[in-house]
Amino acid sequence: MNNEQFLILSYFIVGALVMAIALAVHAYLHRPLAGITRTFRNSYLGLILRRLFPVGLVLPALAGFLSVNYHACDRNYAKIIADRSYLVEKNQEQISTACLFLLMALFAWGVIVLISLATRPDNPVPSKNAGQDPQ
Amino acid sequence: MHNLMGFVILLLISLGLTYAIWAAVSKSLQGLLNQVVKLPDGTAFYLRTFLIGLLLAAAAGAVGTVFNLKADAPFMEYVWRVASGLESVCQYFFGFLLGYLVLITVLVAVLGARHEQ
Repeated sequence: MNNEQFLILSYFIVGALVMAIALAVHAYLHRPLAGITRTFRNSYLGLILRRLFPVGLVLPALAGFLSVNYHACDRNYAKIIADRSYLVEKNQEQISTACLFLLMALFAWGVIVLISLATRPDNPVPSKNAGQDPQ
Repeated sequence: MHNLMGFVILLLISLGLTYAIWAAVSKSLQGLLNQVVKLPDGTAFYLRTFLIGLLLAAAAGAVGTVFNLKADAPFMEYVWRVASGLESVCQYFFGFLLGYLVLITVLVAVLGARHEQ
């Protein structure tokens, strides 16, 4: 495999990996979030939050992945594909940045849940699987 | 091969730190959340967010460290590269824990005041 093929393949594989990380985070958190939104007075707000939750995780992860610039230090395309270790370095940077963006998105969702908890009714409906230790 | 070993060692140390922080804090955090949130799904959400945040911080620090040393590089070059990666991991842990602590403090203040009303 030459460096150009490696660049194309690794770019899309890392992109898919980043999306998979975001979707895994969503899969782990969507049930407790759905339980929280069930206690809302306004059911439409809960529905909107449940539908926006995957978008609000995948988009930041994707933004982190896409924010990495291969043309740093005035490298042209020939220089970029000349160095395999530079390509690997950029792939690592893409995963790392996507993780950081995802971390920031989690904080934002934490604040949204905090606001929703502060405004929920006093007698919420408990869900079946609630309160389990995540271990 | 040595570069890969260096990366694996860095990743293992990062995951070990993640586990140490989780083991030290998770039980008391669960107790606090149960007391304050009074909604089991809310407790589960914040506990899971804490675990995922730690794992993402560890992954961001470890994966962001580039191991491109030459095959004949001396042993200490690898040690310094692992140390540099650990520095990033520690910084991300610190940033995450600081942010999470602020979030939980606000949560306790807001919901505590609400329960007292």
